Amino acid sequence: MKVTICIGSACHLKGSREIIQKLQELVAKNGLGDKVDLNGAFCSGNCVNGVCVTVDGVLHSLQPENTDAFFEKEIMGRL
Amino acid sequence: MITNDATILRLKHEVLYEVAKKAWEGTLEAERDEIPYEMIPGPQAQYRCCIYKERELIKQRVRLAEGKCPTGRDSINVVQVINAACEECPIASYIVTDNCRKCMGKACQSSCNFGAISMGQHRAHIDPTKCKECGKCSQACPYNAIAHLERPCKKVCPVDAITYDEYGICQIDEKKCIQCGACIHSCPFGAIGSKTFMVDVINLIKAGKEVVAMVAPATEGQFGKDITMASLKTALKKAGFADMVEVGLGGDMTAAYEAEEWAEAYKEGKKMTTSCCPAFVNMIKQHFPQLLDNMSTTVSPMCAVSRYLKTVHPGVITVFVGPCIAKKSETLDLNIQDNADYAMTFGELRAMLRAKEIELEPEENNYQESSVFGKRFGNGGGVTAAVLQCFKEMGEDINPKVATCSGGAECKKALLLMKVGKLPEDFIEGMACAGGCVGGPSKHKAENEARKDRDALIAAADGRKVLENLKNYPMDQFSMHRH
Repeated sequence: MKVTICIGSACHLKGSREIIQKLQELVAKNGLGDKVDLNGAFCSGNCVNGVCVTVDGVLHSLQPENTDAFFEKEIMGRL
Repeated sequence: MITNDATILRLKHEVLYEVAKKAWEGTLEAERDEIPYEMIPGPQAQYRCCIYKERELIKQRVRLAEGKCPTGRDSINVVQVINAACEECPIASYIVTDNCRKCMGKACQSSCNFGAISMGQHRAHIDPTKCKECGKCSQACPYNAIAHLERPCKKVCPVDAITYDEYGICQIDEKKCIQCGACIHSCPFGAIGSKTFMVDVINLIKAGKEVVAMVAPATEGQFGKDITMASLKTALKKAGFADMVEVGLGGDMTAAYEAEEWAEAYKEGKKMTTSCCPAFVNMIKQHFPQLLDNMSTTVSPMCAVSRYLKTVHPGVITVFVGPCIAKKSETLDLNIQDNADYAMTFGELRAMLRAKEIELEPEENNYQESSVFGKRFGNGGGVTAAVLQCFKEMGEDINPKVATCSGGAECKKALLLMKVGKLPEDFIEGMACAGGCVGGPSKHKAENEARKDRDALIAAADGRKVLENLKNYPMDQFSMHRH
């Protein structure tokens, strides 16, 4: 599964690094290193709402606070 | 420096400068569409058929400078085709030139196994539908009359990632591309470029974040004999970076851990490769996945310094600066924790400084963070030399044979041999650019032009040893393992 997180400056200021760190920890904790591929992406211009995260091409808008719920639903829920 | 793309380089840096200037001033959002008109006022075209095409090229370059794909297409590749600039070079690769004397021998005809060569009125003719591009006719001709035409971009690509669409426009096969950037400066029309993080870095500095620059070991010598690491540090601080660290220090760190890994593998009889060149790592991942287990698990010098900085200053933003395009792709691999947040080229940094009217000024050569071995990581053979030095310092009495490969073709050959179990050496040092990082696609000066200044600058460094140098750093507080 390919998960892409925007690392552009707008998303950075909205907490993309926190989200990345949380996702890295959650992937490691659940032993999903072989199944989940975490990638950074240049700004795609969709930064009005929150941090841009795509899962297999589907765009989501995230805040650091809802990362855990997102991981449960969109990553664990789809594996 | 003699390159295929001197005029284009000026244009490209001008675009980077304009974008950087507007980003510093905070007017990029409102004025980005005006850049093509400011740079190409018209009415006379200077480079291309008309000003409208020239403006389209500028527009696509502005998009790249902002980290976007040149056209609206969404793709994750760092290296991108500026399709408006591609001149659709001929693809047919063997042609008969005026040198042909339509001789009696007709070695070309008899050498062709596919019956593709016939005799025209004045010279031989190759039927492109029958030609298999084997090149035998070209070798057979005693007058050198058969020329091999190959698209310059396609010729330099070590992994055969360049193809073309039905209109003959260059396309990059992103599954094959290892982001080495060799094609970028090979194109005489400047039709290939890379996305940049320049605007992101400017925005974060402006937002008051603590942004630290990490300059590549290949830096010394790139800007002449008077521009020292201290000069860079001063200029970067003027631009708003919180600090600057030499990635040569990371070279020391990587060498120390790689030495332990290699020593263990050598005793077990296991062959291994280095892992510091990101294009070489991409080559293994995408083209030789069966060798992943033989790739060193030690992080790159860039990642080592980034982890060190994030350990001592939590929350710091780390930005690599060097001659490398593939480093941008390494920062996009988020499976590696705490790696550099962004990577930039020397050209992008220069544009960013120039836009703030900052010049690199000569300064005393008194700032040193890495050993000479770490500094030499940027040269072909440098990683091996540093690892061997570590063996010596560790008291390991081993002397392995290393295939030091520089350039994509050499790397590929060694990996192929390793894959079939016929590599004579014990280890592969893989660097995707000829001569090592100093030959990187975004170098400011060619290796031979910079060598004398580089040697002089490095010769002035003190003789500290690798492991001795690392005693000054909290190596027990962060991991040097990839995962």
